[in-house]
Amino acid sequence: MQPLSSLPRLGVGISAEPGSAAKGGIDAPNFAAEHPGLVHFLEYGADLERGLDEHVARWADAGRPTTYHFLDVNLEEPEDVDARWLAGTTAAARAIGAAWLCGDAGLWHFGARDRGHQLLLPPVLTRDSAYATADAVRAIEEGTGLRVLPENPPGSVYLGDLHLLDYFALVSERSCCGLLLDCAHLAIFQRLRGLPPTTGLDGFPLDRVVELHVAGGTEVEVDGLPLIDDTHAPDPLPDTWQIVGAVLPRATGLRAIVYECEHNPPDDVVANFGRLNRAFPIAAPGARS
Amino acid sequence: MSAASSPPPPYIAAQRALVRMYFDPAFAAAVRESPDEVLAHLPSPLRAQLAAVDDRALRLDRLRRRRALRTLSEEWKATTTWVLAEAGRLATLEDFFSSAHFHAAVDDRGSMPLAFAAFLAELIVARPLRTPHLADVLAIETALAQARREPDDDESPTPPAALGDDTALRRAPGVIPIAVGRGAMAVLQQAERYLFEVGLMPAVALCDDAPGLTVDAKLIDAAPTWMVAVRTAGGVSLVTVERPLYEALRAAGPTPRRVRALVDDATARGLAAADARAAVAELVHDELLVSA
Repeated sequence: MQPLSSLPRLGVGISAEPGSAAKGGIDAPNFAAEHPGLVHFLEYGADLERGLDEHVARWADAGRPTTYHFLDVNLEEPEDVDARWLAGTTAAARAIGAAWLCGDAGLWHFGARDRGHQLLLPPVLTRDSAYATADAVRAIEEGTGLRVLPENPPGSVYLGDLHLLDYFALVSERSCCGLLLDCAHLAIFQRLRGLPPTTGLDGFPLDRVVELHVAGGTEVEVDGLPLIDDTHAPDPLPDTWQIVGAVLPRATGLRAIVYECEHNPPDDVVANFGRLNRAFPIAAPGARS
Repeated sequence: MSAASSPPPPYIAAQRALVRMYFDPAFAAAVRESPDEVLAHLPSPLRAQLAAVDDRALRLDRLRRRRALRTLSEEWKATTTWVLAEAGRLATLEDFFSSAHFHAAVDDRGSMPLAFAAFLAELIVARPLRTPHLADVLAIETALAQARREPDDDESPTPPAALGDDTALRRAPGVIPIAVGRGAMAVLQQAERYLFEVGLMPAVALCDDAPGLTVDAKLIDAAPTWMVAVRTAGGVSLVTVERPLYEALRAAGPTPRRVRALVDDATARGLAAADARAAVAELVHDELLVSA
């Protein structure tokens, strides 16, 4: 298995899903052409049923870097990692030259894999669940030959007694995997638990964080209960920026930041792309061009 | 429908309970009121955490059920349209999320879409819904959904080297035979036409002179017709077949049976033995029946 340290530095990228560009979302090749130096790779989120689309193919065919974000495997249920899923996901990821796989380590579907479940639940934050997730991560890495970065999912309810960061620390420790830290999802979790945004980072293996996600959220109230909706609106919440600021100096193995913003008007996200590129330039400080 | 063989670990059981709470407010209320009874299978810490879940947090996505129904309805387009036309209330379909079918699908890791089909079948009988051919329309759409989902074999199915009485055969994956009334397809298509018309401008549903939907009496024809849903590389299609082919496929099923048993089964349902044997041979030739 490729050592985490040899994974390529991808810089700042943009997210996409099947049909997102065709349905009026940001077209990554066009955006990159109109705003040189802001978007260096494309993270394509997909499931086997929807597969690759013309947008990601056009990006990848130009020889540009990609990562593959799965949307259809329950890492908490290692039996969900079946041969058909492994073969299909490997083929899709290889077809676009993905540098690695990543995806929310939660519940994407609650029965047999199928469409329309309209649900992404975070894992139950217990030690047993973390071990199961670690086993699934290892099985996918062995089955695909690609590194897998489990991501902390969003949620409005988190069960289990562990802190979200402690859970993923266990996953990484047991499976030796790299990690994808979604700063916006972490902000949601901290708010729900009534904790400051950066709580738990001190005990978290930040040196194993390979990728960050940054996205906007919307503060809402449901009958008086304050919650954050993971809307991927243009502007990340201050909590999210605070987490990014705390993580960046200490994430020594960081290779990529994805700004999840593809459903917004391009003009609304340019400034944030600039900010992220200044914080995490494509060329590592001190590296020769 | 159930794929469960042993109890899931507690964290998975807790996830499933939480899913049921997200989709079914009545179940969520029951968990809050009587966690020791409703969640007796869970360890007490998780039980207590589920009982303490703030109901409002479950309602962050207030369209969750509606969006799930939209996806389900895509495969049962005509059935759900006729159900709503007759029942007149969206809640009739939303009741799926409170049904035993939904809860069992979640708890046993079953298929939510096929659970939805089972719910619709029960609904049609229980209310009862009287739209002509409604059960047949459901049967057609369910056959297509089943054909889409039947797992492929690990290896490509092969035709038998020779066909004798002891040759074991089964239906090829994604081949589902059904028998329905002859008017069913027309009733199904009438719903599709209605949806197309309303879909041109959904706001017409607000108008007094919006297009209506009632079964054209001329379409009602209970005489039987036989069809097969077939999955191919290009998708799933529905073909009309002669009765002997239907009976042979029906007898075959997804698990292997000897040709002799298929013929006996078909003759017991009134087919001539020669016709049944010819049908088996034709289905083998067309690769709808394959070697076990």
